[in-house]
Amino acid sequence: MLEGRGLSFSYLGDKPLLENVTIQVRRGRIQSVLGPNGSGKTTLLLLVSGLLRPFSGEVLLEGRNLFEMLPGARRYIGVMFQRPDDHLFNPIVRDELLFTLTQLELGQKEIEERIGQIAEILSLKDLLNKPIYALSFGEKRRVALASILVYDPVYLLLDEPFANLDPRNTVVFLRLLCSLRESKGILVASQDVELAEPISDYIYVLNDGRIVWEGPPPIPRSILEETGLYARVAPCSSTLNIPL
Amino acid sequence: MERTYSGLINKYFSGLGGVFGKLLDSSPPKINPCIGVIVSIVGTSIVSFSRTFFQPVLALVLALVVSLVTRKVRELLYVSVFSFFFAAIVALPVFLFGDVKNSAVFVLRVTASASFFTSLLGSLGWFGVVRGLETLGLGGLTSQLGLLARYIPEFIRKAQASVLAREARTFGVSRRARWTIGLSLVGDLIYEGFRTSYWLSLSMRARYFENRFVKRKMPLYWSLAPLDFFVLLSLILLACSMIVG
Repeated sequence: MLEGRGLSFSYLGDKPLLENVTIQVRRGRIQSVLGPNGSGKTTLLLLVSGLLRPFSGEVLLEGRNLFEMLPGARRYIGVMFQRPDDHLFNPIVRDELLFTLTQLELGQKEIEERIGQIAEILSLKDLLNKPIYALSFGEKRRVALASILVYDPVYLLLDEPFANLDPRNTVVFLRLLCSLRESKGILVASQDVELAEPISDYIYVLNDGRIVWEGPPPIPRSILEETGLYARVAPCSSTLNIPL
Repeated sequence: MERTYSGLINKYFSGLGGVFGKLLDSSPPKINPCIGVIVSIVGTSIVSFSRTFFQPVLALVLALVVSLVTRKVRELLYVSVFSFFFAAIVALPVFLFGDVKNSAVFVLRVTASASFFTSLLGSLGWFGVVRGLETLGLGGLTSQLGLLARYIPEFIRKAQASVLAREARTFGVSRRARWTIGLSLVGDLIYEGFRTSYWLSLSMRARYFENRFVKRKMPLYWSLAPLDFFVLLSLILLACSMIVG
């Protein structure tokens, strides 16, 4: 289990962005952190993955302090950033997949096997020799996911995996996450309740840096309305009359 | 007639993007990357220090053949013509003082070495050069070249988007307005550079499992095409001609 206990964090020393947040990522289930813009979801993911250090609280991997096991423990945690352009730093798709496999010092045969497998699963075979800058947003997102799945981490921390994806790519992502549920511990940070709620086994609702609700779905309507995660879409004629 | 804003900065970034688009062509190079890199460096060095007409002429012929095979004659011509004029201006005083032979050799070797280097590297492309250097064991340098290949197009794209966002709301054509647009871009690009480097460091850290950099081992490509033999043969000829004198 990957666990963040009593995490607090602030970027510039002013108002804390996260306050006393406790979160658990268990194997064999999909957990979601849902919250509106600026609620601290991305920061929470960076803290739990060990990329940022909390001001207070601790991060535990299988009961042991994560920061004492870095950087080796990173091979058990795969983080996908919200913007694929922030995630991908190699010039060609193949190089992006090769990066972690080279770090693991695997043999050439195993490297080719792993790349072949992941390219098959995420339909990347035709893209392997393409430069990253020439890919579409959906393709970049698939490459970003492939770059972490290729080294087979136990825990997947995915920041807004459905944002800006077309419906087809969204379905591909949803199917993939569901197929990985048994073998991995998955944490999805999202503001899209409609997509994240049905696939989640456990949900944390984050607002203003605090967990305001947690539990298995469904999320109570009152919580959704209070946090701004739910808004009824009405025709323009009536929307214009709604006070903001 | 009403004048509209010319969008010079935008045109500049478009042109820059076009050049990098050609350089970053990911199709497999027609020359073995390792041979291409070695021949381009050694061959250019020989031609640059030549004192006779033979080596520059041979290099020009080789450059032309490589460009014809890789269909990059136009790119070669740009470089050749530019370097010819550049060298001719520099050599003009020597020519005026009567030393025709030396000034001609100088112009020829500048043109030939630039053309030779460009034709080989142009046919390899950025990724071919990276592969070649990697095969030669220069891992640290190639990882930096790889980062450049990843982030230069990204930088151009972001800069262009910033320019377009400003142009869309620019209604005047005064020089002052253009300067303001140009200057306001700088702050944006500095911020974007900082933001990109922050996320790059996080992304790299997330996928480093050791406290050391593990170099990638590149397999040697032993299969040689006819063009590789031609390039190697030309290098041998150049080297022999230098030794013979």
